Amino acid sequence: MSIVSYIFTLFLFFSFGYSLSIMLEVKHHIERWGISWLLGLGWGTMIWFLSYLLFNIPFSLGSLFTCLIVANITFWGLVIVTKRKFIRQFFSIRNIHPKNIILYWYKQNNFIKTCTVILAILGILVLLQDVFWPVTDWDALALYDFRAKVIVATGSLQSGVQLGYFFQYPLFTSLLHAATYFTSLGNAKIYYFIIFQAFLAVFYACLRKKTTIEISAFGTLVLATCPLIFYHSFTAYTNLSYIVYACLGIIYLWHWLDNLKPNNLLIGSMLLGLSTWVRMSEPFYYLGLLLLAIGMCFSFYKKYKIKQTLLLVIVGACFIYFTKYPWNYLITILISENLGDPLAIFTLIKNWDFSNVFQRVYDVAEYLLKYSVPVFLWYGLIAVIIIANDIKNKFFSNIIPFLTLLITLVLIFVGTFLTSLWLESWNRIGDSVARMSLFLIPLFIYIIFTSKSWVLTKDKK
Amino acid sequence: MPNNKKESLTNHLILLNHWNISTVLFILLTGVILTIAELSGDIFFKIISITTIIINWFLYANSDFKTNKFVKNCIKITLVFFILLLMMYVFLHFLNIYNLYRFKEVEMFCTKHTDVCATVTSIFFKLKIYRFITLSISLLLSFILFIGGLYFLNTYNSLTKIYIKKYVKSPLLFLSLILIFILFLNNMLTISDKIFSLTIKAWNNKHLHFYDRFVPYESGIEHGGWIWEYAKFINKNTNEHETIFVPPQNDIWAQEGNIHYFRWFLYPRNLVQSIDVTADIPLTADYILISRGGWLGGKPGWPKKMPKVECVETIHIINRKTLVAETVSTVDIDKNLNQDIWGIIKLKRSGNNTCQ
Repeated sequence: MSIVSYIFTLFLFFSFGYSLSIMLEVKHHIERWGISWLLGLGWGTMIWFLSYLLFNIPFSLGSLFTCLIVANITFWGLVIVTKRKFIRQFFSIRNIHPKNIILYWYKQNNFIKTCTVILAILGILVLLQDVFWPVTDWDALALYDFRAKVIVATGSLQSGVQLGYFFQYPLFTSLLHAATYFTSLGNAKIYYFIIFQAFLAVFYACLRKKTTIEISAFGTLVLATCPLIFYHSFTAYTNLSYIVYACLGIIYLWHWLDNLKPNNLLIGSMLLGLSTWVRMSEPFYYLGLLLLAIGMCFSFYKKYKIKQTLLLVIVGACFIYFTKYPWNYLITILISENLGDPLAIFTLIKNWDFSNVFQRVYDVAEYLLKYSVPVFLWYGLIAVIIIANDIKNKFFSNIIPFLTLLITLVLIFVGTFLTSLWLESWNRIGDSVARMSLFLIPLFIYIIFTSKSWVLTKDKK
Repeated sequence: MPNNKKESLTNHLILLNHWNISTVLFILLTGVILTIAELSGDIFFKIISITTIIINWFLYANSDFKTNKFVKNCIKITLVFFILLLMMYVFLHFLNIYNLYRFKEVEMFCTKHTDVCATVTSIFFKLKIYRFITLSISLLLSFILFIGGLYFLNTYNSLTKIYIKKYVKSPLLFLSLILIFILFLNNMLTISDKIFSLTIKAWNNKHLHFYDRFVPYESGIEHGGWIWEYAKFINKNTNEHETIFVPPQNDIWAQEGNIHYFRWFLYPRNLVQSIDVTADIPLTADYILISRGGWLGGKPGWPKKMPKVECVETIHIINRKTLVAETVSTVDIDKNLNQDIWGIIKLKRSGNNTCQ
């Protein structure tokens, strides 16, 4: 029964996400597979949390099933009503029949086949680790998995006030663990495999929209084999989930800046908003707001569907900024503190003494050079060379993405500097800074492999 | 000179042109550098070895060897050889040849045929076959990637010529391509070591109950895995919802002194502690942890003093090496508090007795 309920839970999450992907008109099969998982897990756990927050329904397997079944009925109903003409296309059995998928793969060249075989082997090995080993990672035992234990034992978060060190991060990973433990199984880490493979699928699809199939496959392989990201696929921390949601959110917003298509904005905003449901302390979601503002300017400049774009920008901004609000609201009620909002840092700084500002700037720079820069140095260096080549050849499609990353680096520096003003141990958490910087790697890889410099003239179709 | 002899001489000269000589030399150099990288374990040599692989690919792409049937067949055979070598390596690791006696058939056979088993063991050590097993998987993979790259260049001769011609024209693009390949190869080899060792560890511990796998994952009871066995013992000898007095958090008691970490193992029991290692027993405590401390630095052993005899109901201790638990007296513990003792004291309280 445990395995049946576990598989049923996975099915409900995926099905819910699939209905959302149809509503958002995601056409590419591989992209839809990945987006379904990410949106399903993100919004599914959010709805479960909202049922606890708004209606005081204790966390249980029953409440999880109820929330997911209601969500499925609602959104599939909307799909049937509003997307009828797309249903036949989305459910074309011919396209998703395993025999046709294998035949399609067989027709590809050896390079593609090699890339997919290596990716499949890596995926199987990650799944094996996530199925076999229990949660052992320090931070997971101290917080994320411990909260899942308490949720399963008590059905609520109330005892967290007394237990302490309980509300530092939002509930996404803890609810995924709790969803597993409610089914009496212990393999909570399977969700990290699901998120990892969904990441690779969507990343491939995003590359494929901009470049050839060979470069997309190789770029996805480069991402999958990045050691720091690969190891996090079997580590029960929030970092992988955060990277997935934040990076893909930013990438979809970059796509929106290219073509101003509404579904790219909505998917990007949702994913970026859901990144705050995973971790809230990093300020990178503000980049999303900046990209929305730039997109709005483009729309005005091109005089392209201004009213529609304005409405969508408002909706997108709401997704990005207010997804964290339910969690914020709960911790404000329970412990009267706002632990996660990056802007809360300004209330924590008591001493705005800038007499040693130059020394502090030097210390922060030294600290970041030691812990943060090595994480993405190679990728950043290659991206700089590629961008230089692009500019030389007058390819400007990746300039805005690259500038976004430069702004991110500035944000990391400024954020660390401000933290150093109030937290005494600011320079003793190097490992944490390194993990925060992982977010940049997929974005640099994206810029590298979507450069038009790689594509031969005859491939540009 | 007859024409066919002239052509044969020309062919020999073509084979001896600079690309071909360079290619041969670099192939030999690559093999040497890969071996040095393996023996030294140094990251510098690893990067050098990856760079020589890429230079080799480039030289090979520009040489005439790609059109030479003999060379192509040699590459195919070498690739198959290394793949078979890798499969044998993986098989030997899964077999765990240092622990073959776990198979009853092997045990029975060696009991009946002692001489045969002794001979096999002797050959194994004399021929130093163990050296093969102790190689890292990344070394074998690096040879496979290297030869595989040459094989790929053979198969896609015209396609690679087009791409190389385009990318070489732009120095920045060419540099990016080299750096991407160095990064990719380095990453592949780095993750291969870790994922392989974890997979073998999983295979060797597949018999364990799911949660007991915590111990081998954290390197056994001699290291971080001890906390799992220790917690099982404490859970068995304490009641839920009661309070345990644990040591302060510092380098000696990094696990059991970290309340936020240790509570995961003991929930729903409550944990209390003080920053002072000689602090009095809190009135709310129902138990006191006995912990030698497993980490470096400072003076191990906790608590630093025993509670009053009349406060002690029972004392259970556990041997870290044998995992054998027993009940002991207060006198025995008092003498040995600073030694390798792990256990739990159950307190009984009467009136206002603080048990200090």
